[in-house]
Amino acid sequence: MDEEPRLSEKAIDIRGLWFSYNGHSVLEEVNLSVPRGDFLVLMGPNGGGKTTLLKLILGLLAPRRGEITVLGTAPRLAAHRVGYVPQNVHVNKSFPISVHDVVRMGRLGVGGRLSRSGGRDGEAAVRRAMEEMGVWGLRRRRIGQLSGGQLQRAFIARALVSRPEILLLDEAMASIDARGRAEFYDLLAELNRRVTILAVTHDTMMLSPRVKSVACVNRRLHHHEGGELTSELLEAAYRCPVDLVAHGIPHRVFEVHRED
Amino acid sequence: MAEILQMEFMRHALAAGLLVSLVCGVVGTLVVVNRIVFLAGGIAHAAYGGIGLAIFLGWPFLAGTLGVALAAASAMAAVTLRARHRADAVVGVIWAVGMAAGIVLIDLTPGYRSDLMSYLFGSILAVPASELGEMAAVAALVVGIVAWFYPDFLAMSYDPEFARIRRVPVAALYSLMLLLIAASVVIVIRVVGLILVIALLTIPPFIAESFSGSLKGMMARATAWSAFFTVTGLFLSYLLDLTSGATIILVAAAGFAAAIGWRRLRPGRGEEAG
Repeated sequence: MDEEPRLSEKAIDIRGLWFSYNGHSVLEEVNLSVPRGDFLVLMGPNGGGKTTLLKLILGLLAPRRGEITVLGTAPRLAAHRVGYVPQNVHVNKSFPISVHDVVRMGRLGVGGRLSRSGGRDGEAAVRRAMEEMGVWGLRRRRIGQLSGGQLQRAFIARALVSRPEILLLDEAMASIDARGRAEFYDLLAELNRRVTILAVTHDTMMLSPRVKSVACVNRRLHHHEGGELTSELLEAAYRCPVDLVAHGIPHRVFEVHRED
Repeated sequence: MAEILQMEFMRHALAAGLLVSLVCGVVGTLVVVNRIVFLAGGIAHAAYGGIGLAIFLGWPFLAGTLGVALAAASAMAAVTLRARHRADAVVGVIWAVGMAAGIVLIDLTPGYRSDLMSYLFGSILAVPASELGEMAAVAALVVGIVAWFYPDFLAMSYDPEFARIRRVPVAALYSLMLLLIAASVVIVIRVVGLILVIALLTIPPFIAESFSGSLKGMMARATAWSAFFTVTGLFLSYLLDLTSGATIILVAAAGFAAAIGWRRLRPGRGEEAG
């Protein structure tokens, strides 16, 4: 019964957010409201503040001004209910760790300190997440031996182990080739049936009919609910309209929008 | 071999070498995967200042050295956590001041000169039984703490940001790791000396890294390599009448070169983690 109001609450709610690094303004007056069940792609150029915004949502950084609510509470308190999939360019490829142990990290902090090994339930959750992402067969490999796409799926499995309500993906497509992308989107769409997804990218090719809404961030945030990506929106964010037109992507996004 | 082992100082030296190997395997692995070799060097040189202080004040070796090394490690942890981009310079300063203070304090100690060299190059052949007990206690404490917090150290070392999100106290663990390095450095200095402590903390883990599929495995392999280098170096130094600490490091360096050669020849090794 207590669950009812929670379902109607917003997954992420950001109001009047400002952030700066060493006096250098990164985000200005950002407002963003992400309903539960959304599949939002947040686009913007490198250095436009996308990753900073993700870190603010995760509670790794604190806003200078403004307010962020995640799952109805402060980001720090909600962080364990959020699954985070980092950019895999930052990963130490020579680190001696198996794929299985990387995914097991998703159990940390679940159920308090003494049950940190996760017990049988924990192992079952790890296995389920790995099977769902198709990396169970790779569990004994060293993490550095995975391809970009396999690594990305292992990281998603790690994020899924704790049954998050929101999934945050940072440049998830960067390491996946064009052919793998459609398949990857199907996978995300499948997850989107139970998890709110927020994916960040600098690449307009990231868009797919699977995406429900789009926002562009370049210090300021431009959000078009309903997934409508206009060249004005992109221009505002990138100051470079050519990219979008060349790929012909707006048509696909518009189509989905009209179907709704 | 048997006749060498009949000498008490040689048995003590072997025991000290094995204790040091355990510590270097476990803590050196953390140093190498977290890429904080320079920080470990800073702590080691600060510990040298501690040796000087202990000699100057007439304190026991372990008390003075451990105290100063732990203090330096805490300072470094505070600086690194608060202003990461300034950490390098601060570590450099602590490094130099620790070394200089150690030398000056020994200069100021009346009639004291002989042991200066022994702390630069170690004195594995002169470890008394009483100190062996202290070393064992420190080693047990260090290894015990790492074992207890192993999942947290693993997460912090592999992906600190994700660890923080999963509520692992990364800042506290990082400070704890530097304190463990300080404690380890103090007992390793006894055996191979200040100049060589970093070599023993880094060479065995570095060799072990590419052959290991897990952090635990890397710690175990690094310990085994370290024990092999220490024991081999010890016997060679005895047979050839060389400085033992330096001989141990040269044996380790030879192992390092062999490992790199082996890796070049067999690049496909290590398909399965283990």
